[in-house]
Amino acid sequence: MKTATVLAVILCSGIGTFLIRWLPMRWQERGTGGAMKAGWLRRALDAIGPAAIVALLTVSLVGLLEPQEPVASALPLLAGLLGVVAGRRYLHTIAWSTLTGVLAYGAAVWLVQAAG
Amino acid sequence: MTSKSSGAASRHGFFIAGLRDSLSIAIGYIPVAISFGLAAIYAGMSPALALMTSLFVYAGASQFILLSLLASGGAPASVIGIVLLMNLRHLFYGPAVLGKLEPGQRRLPLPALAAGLTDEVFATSMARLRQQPASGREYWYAGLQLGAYSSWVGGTAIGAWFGQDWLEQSALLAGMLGFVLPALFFALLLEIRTLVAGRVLAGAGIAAACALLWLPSYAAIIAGMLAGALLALRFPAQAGAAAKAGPGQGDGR
Repeated sequence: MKTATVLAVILCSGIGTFLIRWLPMRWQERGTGGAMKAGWLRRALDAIGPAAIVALLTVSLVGLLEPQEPVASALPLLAGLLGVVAGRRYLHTIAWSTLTGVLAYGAAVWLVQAAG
Repeated sequence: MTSKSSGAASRHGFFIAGLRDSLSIAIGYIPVAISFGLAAIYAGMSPALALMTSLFVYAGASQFILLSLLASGGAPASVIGIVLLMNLRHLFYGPAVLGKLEPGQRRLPLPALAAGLTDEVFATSMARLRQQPASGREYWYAGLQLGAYSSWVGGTAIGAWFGQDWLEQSALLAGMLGFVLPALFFALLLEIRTLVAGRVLAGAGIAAACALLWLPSYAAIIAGMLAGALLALRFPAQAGAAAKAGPGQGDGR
């Protein structure tokens, strides 16, 4: 594919993505301020964030599971999640919790590989 | 004059706090962005085009799809359509973020607030915006966006120009990079788990997992979000949950 075509695809994808992010904000600010005060809509919108986090977590974890080696791939995931919990408990920050989780995951992967 | 300068200093302070809080996102973004830069080079893209993809599209998973579709010779219109379809879930993000900003306190233009609204910026905002004073929320959010965007673009540049040698030397490091985003999402979940009823969270996870059996991952994420929103209508958050996550409890950074 020509560089100009690739560039056009990138620009159109970028503009479209920006509009997907911007237009709902604009519509809400201009026209549906009253609707936002409706309790049911507010409750639904408040839940979308936490629900999105759970959905993103679920999808990303499932993506790391290998059906051929369920135990060998699940153990590091479990260790990584426990690492996040430990980081949260003792270091109290999202950044450090993430890092301790990744380190625990890496250590478990190394151990599983060494054992296997 | 004094109040003006103190107001500016305060806004600056919130912006810096947002930048600082973007570190948790940057830890997740940089490895993935490096991977994207690497993948783009493998797919035959020039480093400059890889960088432009991150600069203009700025939407992690769909950038990888864009890359693979371009590499496999997909028609431009279908590539654009699939990328936008993948990003449709972002339709729900803007109104939810806007609902957390005080209308009377808003000064930044909407396009600036919308441009950097990725999954991770949205998730972190939902967890942390309530903990910021109303007057500083949009500046904190702008700092968060800028930090996340810079790390994504910077990571892509590193991957496109320098990263190949590092990852070839360590398969373990390459494997660890794959767990960074799940770890970030789990850390965020621990932060916001009291904001909604447990059944809402469980329902969202189960819906996403079940949807994965038939649907691609981006559609499963939408299914999980919609299931959570619907369940929230049936199971409201416990009284006091929002207060628990409110100002004064900000030890979760």
